[in-house]
Amino acid sequence: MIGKSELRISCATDASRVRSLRHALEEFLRVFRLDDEFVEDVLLASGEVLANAVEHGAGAEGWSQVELVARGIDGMLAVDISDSGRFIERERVSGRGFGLGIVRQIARSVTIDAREGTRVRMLFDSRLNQQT
Amino acid sequence: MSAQSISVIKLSGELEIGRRAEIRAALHVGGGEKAFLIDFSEVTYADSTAVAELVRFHAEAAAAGVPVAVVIGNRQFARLLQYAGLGDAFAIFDSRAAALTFLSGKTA
Repeated sequence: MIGKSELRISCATDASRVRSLRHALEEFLRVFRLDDEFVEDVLLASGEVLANAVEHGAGAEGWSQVELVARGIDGMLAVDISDSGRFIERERVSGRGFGLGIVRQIARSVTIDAREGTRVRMLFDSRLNQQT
Repeated sequence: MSAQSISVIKLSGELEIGRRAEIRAALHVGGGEKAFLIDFSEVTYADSTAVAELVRFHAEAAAAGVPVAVVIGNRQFARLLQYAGLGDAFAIFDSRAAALTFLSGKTA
């Protein structure tokens, strides 16, 4: 069980950092001996949101920071990724087209809060995928 | 078609946004190719950056009338294509030998 454990990382939004953030998340998840396929899917969904933040996450003044928080909530895994950009605008101009659709297929729920910057919360049902 | 007339493009490791320029440069239709074998057998992780570049490349090759076979040896990559709704969009194989047989048949 993830319990009250938490991973919290923030850094400048830079394409070269996405891999490091994803690897840190993987190390965190591996501690809990979760199912390999589940971990791979969480990393993919998180990687997609991180990539989106890197591409379009800069704020109006060019300030650019991304934060990843992973923790257990009510027996589920929650991954929050926040940045200073605007999600709706970036989806319109992205042209990549696959990222959010992939995220929605993997996560049990995806919530996008774009009131101040963008925070994407993904919930994953870790209980169903946990190895016994 | 002999193996020598098939253009092989191999990418390995983690195919993600930080390598987009490299992926785009590698997946390039230069003109004159008879067939492409895209070897992703040593890819350990891929995201939609790789998918988008593969879709672009595949369209360019199709426009040029050049067949493409893709070798994928990683279940995460295969699942990624399913999530993207592209599970049946490419000729995908789990070995180079199978891909070469396919390409030989396409151009015989």
